[in-house]
Amino acid sequence: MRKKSLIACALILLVLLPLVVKNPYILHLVIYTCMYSVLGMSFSMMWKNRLITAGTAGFWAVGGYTSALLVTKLAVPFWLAMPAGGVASALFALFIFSIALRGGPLVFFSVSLVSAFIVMEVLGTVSFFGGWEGLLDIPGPRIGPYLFFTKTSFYYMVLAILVLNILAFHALYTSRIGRAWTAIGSSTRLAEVQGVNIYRYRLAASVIGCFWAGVIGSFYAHYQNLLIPTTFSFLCSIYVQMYALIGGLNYFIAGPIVGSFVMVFLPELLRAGQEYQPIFFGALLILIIIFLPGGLLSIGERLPWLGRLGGRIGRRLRLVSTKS
Amino acid sequence: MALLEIRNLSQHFGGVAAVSRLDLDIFDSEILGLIGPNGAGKTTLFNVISGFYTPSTGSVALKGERVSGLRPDEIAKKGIGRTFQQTVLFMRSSVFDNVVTGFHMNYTSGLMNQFLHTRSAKDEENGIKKEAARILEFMGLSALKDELAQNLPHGHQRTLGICVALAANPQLLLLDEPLTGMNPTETLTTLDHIRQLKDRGITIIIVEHNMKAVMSLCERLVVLNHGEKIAEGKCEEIQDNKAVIEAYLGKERR
Repeated sequence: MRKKSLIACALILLVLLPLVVKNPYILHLVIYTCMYSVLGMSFSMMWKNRLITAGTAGFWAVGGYTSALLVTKLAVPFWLAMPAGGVASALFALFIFSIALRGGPLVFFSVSLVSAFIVMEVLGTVSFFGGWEGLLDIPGPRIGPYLFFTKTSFYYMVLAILVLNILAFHALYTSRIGRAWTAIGSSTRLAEVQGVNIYRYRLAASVIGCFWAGVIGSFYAHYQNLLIPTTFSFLCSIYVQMYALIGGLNYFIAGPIVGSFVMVFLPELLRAGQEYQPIFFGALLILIIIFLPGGLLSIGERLPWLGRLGGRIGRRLRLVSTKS
Repeated sequence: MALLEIRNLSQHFGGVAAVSRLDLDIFDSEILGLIGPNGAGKTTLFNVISGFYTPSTGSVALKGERVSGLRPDEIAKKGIGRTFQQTVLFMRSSVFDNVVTGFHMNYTSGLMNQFLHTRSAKDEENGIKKEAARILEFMGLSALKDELAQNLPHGHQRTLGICVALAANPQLLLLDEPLTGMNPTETLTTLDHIRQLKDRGITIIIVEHNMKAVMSLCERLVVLNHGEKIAEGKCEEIQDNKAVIEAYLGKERR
């Protein structure tokens, strides 16, 4: 079982990472990478059904605010508030997408976009949510007597969420449900003729995707200790899409992770100023679309000298079975 | 009683009647040939039967139960399968995965079992993989099962289309020009396969322009022109039918 041992090695390395990386800023970037990976995977789950969501940030916000308000106003314990954030986001998705999906992918896109705008406006203008100045003084996560305070502890928490998310998505993608999603993404007509209820499967993908966006929203709220509505702007949703695209849109799990990693760390390495970042992102995006339309992960499948191994790893990551 | 009953069926697109006041019975375990010039409404009729269009008037009933008006996936669950005139496959999946995906409706274990990959779900999965391999074996595609669908030659893609349709275990199979793009050898093998499917109790309606193949395959023919049925009967009768010859070749000039 070479595959299993490889995964175990990767996990051990990730667990040991804080022992090597002492710089808290680097650890902070790793935490952001994990966070954006979860958001990107949420986007990818809908993309697998050829649904493009432009509202990831909105659902991220719903999860974050729900969890933060539950903890601050109702003194709900954190370990309950986090899944509650996910559920709130999922219910919100269920409500709007059960209507939007009757109109097909284009309506889905517009509705996701508009709903994210509405979420931001509501959070900013209603004083109950803290207004445009934001919701401040959100307590750090506390599980039992243990208070999460150090970067290392937050790193382990986000790593646990990411791993759980990957496991859940992998289980879904390799089951009959995932196969139905692939079928929808490949040809809705043929999927229908084979008995796939397109509406229901697309709705399920949106709700599950938004659930995880909500969970990571809760993490974000308690990690940053404050929520500002403008964080969850349209631009943020676009960035999430970009991360998934740069990693590779057909790599539904690995793509967003690689994309987030590159896009969080590369600007730091180049020491680019904050103001130049959009230009840099845009340039990289154009280069990737022209030279590597399959994303960074498709390198292995595109370069012939990497040979069959590259192709095999690539197919693995796309969850396409090489042998039956 | 007929397996499929079509009664007074019309399908209008704006002012155009693609199918108009059609009555048709399809009987158990027969191969019915549906022919007619281009634009006669054959594919439209398939699209109505499989649920892509809701008919403007009239009804389609399978074993006495009305199916017109249902969604395509509901009609598929009732036991009507089809292939498409243009090759429609899960192009970026392997041949084997195409067929396994076709089995979507045949799963009985619940979604939670599927998600958790429990023992019963795994057993079911293995059973379905065996079935899929059997279908590929039967249609002669076993050797190509790891190939991506998009890399297959056209004739094999057509055959794979039938394999995917068979995976849904249909009672009634609608084949829309299955022989297009096949060489003579492939044509003969496919015709043989279709006959075997009939022997297994699958009722088949076939739209095909290759007249020689249709004549050798079908017991009964229905001819459509401008959405109307202009002739119905045994092959020999149809061959000499004046209306049919006119529809294909135009009116005789005096």
